[in-house]
Amino acid sequence: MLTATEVALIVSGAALIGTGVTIYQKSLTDRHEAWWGRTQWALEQVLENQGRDDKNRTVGLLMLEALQESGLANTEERKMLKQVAEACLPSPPEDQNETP
Amino acid sequence: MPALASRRPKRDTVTSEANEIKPSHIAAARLKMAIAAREGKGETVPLWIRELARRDLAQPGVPADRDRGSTDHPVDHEKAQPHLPQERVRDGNAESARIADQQVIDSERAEDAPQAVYRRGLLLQGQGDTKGARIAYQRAIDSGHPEYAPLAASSLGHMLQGLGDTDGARIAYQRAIDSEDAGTAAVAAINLGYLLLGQGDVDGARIAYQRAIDSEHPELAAMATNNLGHMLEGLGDTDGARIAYQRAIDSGRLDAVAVAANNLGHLLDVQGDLAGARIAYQRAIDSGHPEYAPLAASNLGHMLENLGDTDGARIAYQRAIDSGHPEHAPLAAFALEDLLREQGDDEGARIVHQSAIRSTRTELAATDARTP
Repeated sequence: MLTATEVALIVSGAALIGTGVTIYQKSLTDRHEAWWGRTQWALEQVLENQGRDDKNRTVGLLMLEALQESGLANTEERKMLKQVAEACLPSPPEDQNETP
Repeated sequence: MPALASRRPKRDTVTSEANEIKPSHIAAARLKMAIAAREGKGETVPLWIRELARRDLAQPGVPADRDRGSTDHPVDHEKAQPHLPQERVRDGNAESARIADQQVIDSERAEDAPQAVYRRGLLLQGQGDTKGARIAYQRAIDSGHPEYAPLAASSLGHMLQGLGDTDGARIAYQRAIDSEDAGTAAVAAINLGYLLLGQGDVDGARIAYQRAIDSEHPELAAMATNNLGHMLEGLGDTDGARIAYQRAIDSGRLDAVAVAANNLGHLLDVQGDLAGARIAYQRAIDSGHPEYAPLAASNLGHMLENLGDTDGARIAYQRAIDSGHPEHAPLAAFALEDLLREQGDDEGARIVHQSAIRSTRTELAATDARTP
């Protein structure tokens, strides 16, 4: 038998989005600028450490994973992050020619 | 868009001599999966990338356990887990759970099949197979089971909402609302209210939220009251919003207290009632809620920083950082870094910057510890 608490978990997903309009900074523009600043920093970790420091590169990618979850990210920016992820993937195994 | 966005890196290639999986490959696969899942396209990601995303950052060379539950859609998968046969979920063996449920479905036991089909829907959704999940949910709905049919309708509505199928979501939610199951009906009413509000149907949203409030379910009614307050705030009815937030706080339910206190804090901050805002933010922080306590700490930090109370702001930001929240902690760390740099404390800023990196993922700590 499912409990009410388990059902409520489903609610929290939507409620988080609904109330996720709560605020980091005063205006949406400021918040997005702040988001972009963090994203830019993470992208630099990825791009500048290509073929060099894999640890920093990993940090950047993990940071991007966290940042893309933000409601501040728009479709274009997510598309760009997806391209970054694809560029950082290894070549697919020989038995899978599917393009990611 | 800042110029950096046009700097597109060349694709990494794995040569035969360097045919090894690096932690960054796993991180890239996870990023790819996370975005695909958010777009509702988790099932379109090639299998090799899904398997890559499941590998351990600290041991990238170890192949993923094929029997382990997929992490195609980590958030939803976690939500789905409580509904799976518990002993198998604890073993991390989602495939075993799926087979067990299929056996129940095949046995055509009227009492058990709707439950198994519903669980299967959750499992498939968690794995990013939204088409399969939809079929399973529909089977549970069609069973007419008094508990699992409305539950499946509510879950189907939530999934369709996430996929952008708002018409389908509305129909599914309404099916759950019309059921005899008060708890599930309240869940669906809250989610329908949020959906309608997003479509600009304020009256419809108000009716839906009120339906959940009238359910008198202790947690769900409080959550709906918070959402109603948020809607009123957006409509400019700040008095109504304050009353609603306060009612949600007075419910004493953790989720509602934490989110409503945070929202009240922001409302009062905007209105210039800084003392009231501080109290409300503190209430949210003291709740210890894993999501809203760090958010409230960051909001308090921003408010105090704007007031020139840098000591207070530092404490509040530090509180958010210490939470280890994957988004709020690093963002608070960057805010604190900026604050310290403005104060000329470059060394402190550097240390905080490092903490922002460390707080991105707990998995990273394991990587740091094991990587020379």
